[in-house]
Amino acid sequence: MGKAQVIPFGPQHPVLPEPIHLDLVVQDETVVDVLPQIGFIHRGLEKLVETHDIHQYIYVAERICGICAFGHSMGYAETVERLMNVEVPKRAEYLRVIMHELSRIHSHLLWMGLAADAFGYESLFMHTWRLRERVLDIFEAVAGGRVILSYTLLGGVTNDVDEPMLAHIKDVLAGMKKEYNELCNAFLKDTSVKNRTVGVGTLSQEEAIEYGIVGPFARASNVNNDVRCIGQGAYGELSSFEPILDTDGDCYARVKVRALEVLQAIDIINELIDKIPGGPILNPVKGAPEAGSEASGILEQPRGEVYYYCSGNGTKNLERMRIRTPTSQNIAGMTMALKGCDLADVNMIVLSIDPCISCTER
Amino acid sequence: MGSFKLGRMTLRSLFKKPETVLYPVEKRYEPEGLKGHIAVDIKKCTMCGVCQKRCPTGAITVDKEAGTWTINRFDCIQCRTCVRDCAFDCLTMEPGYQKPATEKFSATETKPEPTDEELAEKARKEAEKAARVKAALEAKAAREKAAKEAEGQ
Amino acid sequence: MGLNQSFHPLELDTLLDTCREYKEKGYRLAQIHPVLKQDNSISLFYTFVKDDEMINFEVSGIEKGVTEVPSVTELFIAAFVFENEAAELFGVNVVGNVLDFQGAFYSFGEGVEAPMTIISPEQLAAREKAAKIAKAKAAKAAKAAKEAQAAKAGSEKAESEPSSAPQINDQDATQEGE
Repeated sequence: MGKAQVIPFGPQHPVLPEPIHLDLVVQDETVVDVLPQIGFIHRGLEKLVETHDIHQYIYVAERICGICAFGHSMGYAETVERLMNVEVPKRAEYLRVIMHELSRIHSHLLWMGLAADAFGYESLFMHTWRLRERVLDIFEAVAGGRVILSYTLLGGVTNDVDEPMLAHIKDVLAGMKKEYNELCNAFLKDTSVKNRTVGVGTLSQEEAIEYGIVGPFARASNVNNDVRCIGQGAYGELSSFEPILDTDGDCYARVKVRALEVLQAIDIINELIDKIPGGPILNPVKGAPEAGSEASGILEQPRGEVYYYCSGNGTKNLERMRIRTPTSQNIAGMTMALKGCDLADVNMIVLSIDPCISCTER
Repeated sequence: MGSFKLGRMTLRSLFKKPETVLYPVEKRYEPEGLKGHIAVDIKKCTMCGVCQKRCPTGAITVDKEAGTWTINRFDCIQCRTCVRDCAFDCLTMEPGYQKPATEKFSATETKPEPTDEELAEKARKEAEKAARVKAALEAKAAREKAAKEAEGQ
Repeated sequence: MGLNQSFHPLELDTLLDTCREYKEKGYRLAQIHPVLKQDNSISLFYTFVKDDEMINFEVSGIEKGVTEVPSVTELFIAAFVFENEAAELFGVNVVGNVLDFQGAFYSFGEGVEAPMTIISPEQLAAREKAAKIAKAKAAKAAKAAKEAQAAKAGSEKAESEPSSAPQINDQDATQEGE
């Protein structure tokens, strides 16, 4: 055994879309210990509830993360609605879930592209992102924005999606599915993908439960933490919902879970579009949350479960807003998965949890 | 196990039209509801200031005295709050993004001085209103008088 | 179907035992977050989730930098992020954190300490406004109660039962207040 050395990894690194710093203690190309550090982009968004009222904070919540922007506005709105006992119209719930699943597709495709880039498969990366562009075009046509949608309102959504548009979404997804199956084939069967992912960064089921990890990271280790199973909102109206699980717990399993979740999301959207009821899309929220009232909520986002807490003080502003994002829960699991791996695999493992550091720090 | 599963897709894209557009020459299709920039119909604006109050970033300033409506296009986040909340439908969201610049600046719209026709219209409306008020008052007085008379009987 | 959420108070001494108990029951610690209360004490919320059940435990009355809060990282390692966060953003004195960054988790600028406990002018204004609203509400309720009392007193005078009247009126007042 050689002498132990410390290699700094990040915060700026070609594989990292966002800044996280890892101190890797390395012995003969093998990582023996890891110390993670975040804190490079803390923005204090939780404190902003004091200057923005409950309606304005939606736009702050959206900016917590660029990829799950819609998810954050939806989760925030659901929690405030629970705080104020507001009933959301059925059609609005359906539209929210449709948009949320669309953003899941775009988030997973983005991640798969980044993963392909991380293990050096450039053409796969290009094709994945080319396909992702279709989802962004749907967003643009429906909500008017490509990434930050500003589509959610307290008590509903901003504008209705008419029948031709829903049919168009179905068409686009059908066309996408055909091409996506080819991509999926490449991700799951290609030798160059398998060489970099199979058996890398393994976490067993017991370890996954012990470290309390969430999202696709946990589901790859056969831990079902999928909050969609609870059936909140329009998820409860699905005829059946089976979370996608894998038992291997390595990087390949994480690629597989995400790859199959895209197909699952397409099915969910198709089913909801067939079932969508008519009616109003907005139940305007008036007044302010009562003093001393509190509510919490969870929502399954592309990266995992997100926790929201808010409490009112009788004015238009919330007393306290708390958002716990999946990555902060997964950091402990990631450090454990890194122990004992090769130095060359570090970037693949770090990426396989789909880290979103801006979310974590807010 | 297979190698180069992406072969067919890669080959196909050799003969396809490129996905990207040659930007300055060719522009992307902009859908109808695209959130580009806020446009104001200043003639309809009553300077009530709701947009200024509701704007989450404080990009809009309304000066009632001077009759100006100012927006800092670089602070605006295109959330459509002002468009939704405007009671007089004078704000619209239109496609077309703000061009980049080296420093932030704001655009000001000034409410035009009312023309003679508009002044005449206003005067006519006010006269109508005064006439209505007068008629109502007279009717009320007559009613009261009638009631008094009825009581007296 | 839906989420069953509940809020329970918890004593600081029983925190570790409760965590152990819930860990054995198969719950996972979803998160920990501090809340700055109006009287400047801090409450820590511990959230446990299992299937569709979400339990929030509130440990209240923690004094900034004084009260020693035992760390739960021995049981739930993933909590190290939240405990470092609570220590740095709110100045909670967490003892025994396995991965304690000692104030270097979020590196703030010079002279900034526990930024989430700084009461901004906006917050102060909001609190004053909230107090005003609450006062107005209370005054309204009291007025309504007084009217009810007067009405009741009037009716009870007829029934000639003056001894038990104040008690009944008190109950009325609390109901009106709610």
